[in-house]
Parts: sequence; structure tokens; C-alpha cells
Amino acid sequence: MTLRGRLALTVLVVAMPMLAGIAWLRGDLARRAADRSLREFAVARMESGGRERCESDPAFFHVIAPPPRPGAAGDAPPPPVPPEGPAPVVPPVPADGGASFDEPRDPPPVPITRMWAYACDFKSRNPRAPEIPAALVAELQRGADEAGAEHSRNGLRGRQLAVRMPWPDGPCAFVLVRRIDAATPDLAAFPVWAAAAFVAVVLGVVVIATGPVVRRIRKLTADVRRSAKQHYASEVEASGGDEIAELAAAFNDAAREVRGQLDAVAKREEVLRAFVANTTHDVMTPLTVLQGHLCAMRQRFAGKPADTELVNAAIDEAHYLGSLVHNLGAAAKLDAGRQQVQLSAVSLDELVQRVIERHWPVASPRAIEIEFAVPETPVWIDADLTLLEQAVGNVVGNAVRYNRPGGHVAVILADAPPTEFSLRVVDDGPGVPDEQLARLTERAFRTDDARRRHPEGSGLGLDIVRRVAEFHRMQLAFRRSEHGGLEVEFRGVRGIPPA
Amino acid sequence: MNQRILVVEDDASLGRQIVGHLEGAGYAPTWLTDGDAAMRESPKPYALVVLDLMLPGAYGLDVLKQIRSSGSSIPVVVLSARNETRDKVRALQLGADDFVTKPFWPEELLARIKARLRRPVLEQGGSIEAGDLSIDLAARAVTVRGESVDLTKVEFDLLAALARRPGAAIERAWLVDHVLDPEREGTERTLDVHMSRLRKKLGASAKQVATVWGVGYRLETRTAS
Repeated sequence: MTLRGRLALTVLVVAMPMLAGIAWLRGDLARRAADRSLREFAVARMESGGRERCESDPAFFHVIAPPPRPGAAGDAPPPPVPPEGPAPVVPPVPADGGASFDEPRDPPPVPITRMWAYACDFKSRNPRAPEIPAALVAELQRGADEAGAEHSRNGLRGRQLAVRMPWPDGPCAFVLVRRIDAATPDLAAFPVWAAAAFVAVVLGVVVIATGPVVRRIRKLTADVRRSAKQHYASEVEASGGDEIAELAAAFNDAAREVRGQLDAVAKREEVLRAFVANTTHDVMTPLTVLQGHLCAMRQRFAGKPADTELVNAAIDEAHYLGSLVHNLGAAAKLDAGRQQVQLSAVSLDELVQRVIERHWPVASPRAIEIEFAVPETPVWIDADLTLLEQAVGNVVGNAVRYNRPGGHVAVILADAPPTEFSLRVVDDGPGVPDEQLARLTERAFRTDDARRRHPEGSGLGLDIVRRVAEFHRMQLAFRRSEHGGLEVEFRGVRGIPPA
Repeated sequence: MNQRILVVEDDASLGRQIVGHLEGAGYAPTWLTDGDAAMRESPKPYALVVLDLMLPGAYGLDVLKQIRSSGSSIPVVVLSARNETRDKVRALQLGADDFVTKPFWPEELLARIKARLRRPVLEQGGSIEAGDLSIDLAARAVTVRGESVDLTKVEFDLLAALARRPGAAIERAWLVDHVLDPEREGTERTLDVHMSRLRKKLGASAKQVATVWGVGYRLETRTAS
């Protein structure tokens, strides 16, 4: 539920009972005023000779009076006696005669007050007197001095009040006073249109007053979302001195905190990355020198089989060591995520040749031939140069490493029309058993054979191959080659050659 | 003629080794150990530059920038030790022709250098040398030790297809699809027949057309082997 809707509902929930309360209070005050006026009328009339008249002739006692005039305090001078009526008091209005004498059918032009007397048993000696309503009788019986109720006649509303007189007995111990007053407002009913108008006005005020608030909250929400998207690099606007501004300021504080943490992490990663790069540099130059020495030794020992074998073993290990360090660097780079990877247009033709030339010095002493084929038009793809070369190098390295002397490795780069390329590394080595082929694409898996022959290996190389292929959205397939060994295929989308 | 090669490498052992290997391969290397000296050196007398990226004094990339801004198009092979894509991509963008990642084998570096020195000949589009074999693509003429060899159209087209991608093997299927007339002789069997005739005609240079395991055929340009 929106803020505005909630506020409007709250206003309604609060205003409705309040309006009802006001309506009730207003009616109650009007009732009390009417009752007081009726009581004063009754007491004044009875004390100023009414009692005497009543007790002397109870069967005919009945008072009809015009409304109290202002300043008369309800105690009007005795009205003239009606010429033909049995009552001692004649109404100032023309009587419409007979049956409904005490309750005129037509609305009187002015309010009229009537009074009858009753004995202790709440029965009137006057046979024309109306009965006191049962509810009022019950109230008086409980000891109340007076009991009032609504009264209506011929569609006109008024008030009736039963009053206990100061004397305890006689035919006039109680009186019932009734007044029909055209000017008396509907005591219970509350003007509904006024209430509706009031509620509408309040709702309007709520909507107008909350407008700017809602707008600011929405803007703050949008600002916060934008800031979050930018890794909290931008602050949100926190103008003004109210709670919304405080909320914005609090968010800015939190964002600063988060930014600080992110910066610290980034800084740590940068330091670590620089450390790895520099360590790699420090290791690689001496390793290159070592490889140079080994090659020199191989030339010197040429023709002495035992020594040559030893040097070749050393060459293998040096080769493996260099590749291992690069694989560690590649793993760190892949772990660090996208920002550490740099895509550019890479010539696969040149990459294949570099990989071949790197492994040739290791393959040739074991009489393993490495061949490569490239298509007529060079293949360019968008890739991270280092990662992709490392991945292809790992596959070729494995094909050489696990091959038998005199074996073959072929790297075949070809177009796969219309938009793809295919890079296959094929060998005629021992291959991989069918049941293990499928598992080669799983992470951190190495065939048992590989583990036995190269226990120092960690499966890292193949893992890099999988992750690099995945990162570059290339399909990676391992299958039995037609020459009996293993065939590994990278398949991906060709890119655009650099201008 | 000994081609001069400028080597810029700060590590003493590695520099000495590279110089030794280059001399052994018949080049005339000049070795500089710091970037500032390399900045002052004119690339004009050299056929190629081997440039390490991490140098005392000027950074390797600055040396590269200097060479290219002087208008020289001399081949530059960069040595990268940190194995950072950023370094390599930057070097290639600045005009490096190739890079070799450490640790490298002496043969590996020599192969890269030879490939770079060979390229301009290829790009001239004239003739291609492979041992005693010389192929003039424009004139469609083939000689072995200066003696002209008479080839059929298909035989020359096959040899030219190999010569256009020297060092790389060409897939049999590609040769069948792109060189042979698919209407008349489009099978790998006919391809082998043509190749066999071509070799016979090349005589002493027959071995330059090598059968490549797993792929097809290749024009052999690796004279060392």
C-alpha cells in the first residue's frame, strides 16, 4: 500500500468515529437543553398554582402552552382558558376540534408544550392523558427524578419528559411534558453531506500535503538505486532539514562505508595481482636462462644417449615448471573475475604458431611431430590473449606430454561457416578410455593414468582449459581421435579483424 | 649477409644467451642493457629488434613508441615476463609485431625471429624460397636449383596453395575443395595422385612438399630440419 493510501485510510479510520462522537455529543447537548427547558416548564407551572388545580380537579388537568418567549424563562403567563375545551388552558392556535385535540394533526405554526399529571402508579386521572412510555416509567421506578425520550407525532419531532414532583403523593406526583417544536433540529441525525464534505476536504488536504513528501521519497529511492548500481560511487541529494533529508544523509554515510570497504578490497587485490605479476617476472627470466642452459647441454651431449636422456628429462621439467607458474597466474586471473581479464582482437593463426613453437623444442627430442594448419583467411576472435594461449598451450602440452616417442600432434584451425571457427588438437597418443572421456569436462578431474605418470601435476592445466573456454563462451569437446588418440576441440564465434 | 639484430635485455645471463643463440644462427646481434640507451639507438641499421618490456631506465613500451614515432617499420619482437595481457595488447597496439612469453626456448625465439624476417619477402608477393625450390607466384614459374620445372595447372595451383601459407599444413579436404576441379577430380585419392606427380617433377626438392600427419600437405621452409 502506498504512503498516500495509508494516510488516507488512517484519516478515514480516525475521522469516522470522531465525527460520530461529535454527532452524538451534539445530540446529547441538544437533548439535555430540551429536557432542562421541559423540566423548568413543568416545575414552574406546577408550583405556580398548577398543583392546586390538578389536585382539585385531576380528571381534567391538562396544560397547553405556547413556547417560552425569550426573557420569559419558559414561565409564560397563564394562557387564556379555551372557551369550549375541557382543559383549563386553551392553545393559542385554532383547535381543529375533537378527537385529536391533544395531538394536533397539522403541524403547529409555533412550538406547543403540553403537560399532563399522573399519580404514584403512573396513571393519570385524566382519561385523555397519554400513557407515560414504559421505558420512562421504568426509569422513574428506579428512582430517577426525571426521564426523557424522543417524541414524534405526525412526522414532527419533539421531546417528552416525565418529571417527579417534589411532593410524594396525590394525583399529581408525576407529570409528563411534551413539546413539538418545528424549530428543533433533528437531535440524533447528523448532517451527512456535511460529514462527507468534511472527510473529502481532509482527504484532499492529505493528498496535497503528502504530494511533495511522496515525490521526495520517490526521488530518494531512485537516487539510492542509481548509486547502488554505480557501486555507491555517487552520493544521493540530501537537502533540507527533515526526516527524508536525514534518511538520505544516513544512506550517504552507509554508502561511504561500503565504498571504503570496496576500495580496500580492490586495493588488496591490486597489491596481490602486482605481487603475482612481479613474482612471475622474477621467476621467468631465470627460468628462461635455465632452459637456455639445458638446450646448450643437449647440444653438447648429443650422441651420448644416457646424458641426453637426463637433459631431456630436465628440459621436460623446466617446461612443466614454466607452464605451471603461468597456469597459477591464469587461475588467479580467472578467480579475480572479469575486471582482470582484458579482451582484444586476437589472431588465432599467430596464437597457434606461438603455441607450436613453444612446444616443439620439447617434442622434437622425443621424435614427436607437431603440425599445424590454418585456414586461408586468418581467424580473429575477441579474447584474452594470455588466457587463451595458456589454454591452447595446456591442451597441446598434454598431447605432447602423454604421447609416445614417435607420436604425432596436429593443431588444426579451420573455418566453421558461417560464423564460427574450430580449433582441434589431435594426437595419436594412448588416448582416454571412453568412460572417462565425458568426465574430462568436469572440473578438477584427471584420469588415473595421468596421475600415475605425473603425480606432481594437479589437474590445474585442464581446469584452466575448461574455465577459459567457458569464459570465452567456446564449446569444448573431448573425443576419441580418428588416429586412436585424443581430440580436443574449441569451437567459438569468429570476431572482427582489427582495422 | 649477416642481418643485424638489436637486443634490448637487462638481465645479463639472458642477454648473453640470446646473443649467443643469435650468433649461432648466423645473425649479428647488438646488445643493449638499459632502456635509455635503447631510446638513443637508431633502429636504421638493424633488421629486427628483440625488446624486453621491463627495463631499467625507460620502459620497453616507451622504446617501442620511440621506434615507431621515428617512422621505422622494423619488426619488433617483444619479450614479456609478467605474462600480462595488458602489456602484450599495449605492445601490439603500439606496433610490436610479435611477442614471446618467458620462459621461452632458444629455438622458440629463433623461430619467431625467422618468421618475422621472412614475412616481408612474402608480402612482396613475388617468389617464395624453400630450400633449393623457388616458386614465382606472379609468373607461375617454378625452379629447382635454377632449373625450370614444367608443371601442369593443377600441380602448380597445389604448390602455390602450399606456398601461400608457408610453414603451415593445409588440410587435404581444403585442397580438394578449393584447388581441384570438383566436377572432374574432387576426391582425396586424386589429390594424392597429383601430389605424387608433383613430387616426382620436383626431383631433389621433393622433400620440400611434406606429407603432414593428421592434416594434409605442407611446403617445408624450416631449413634447419
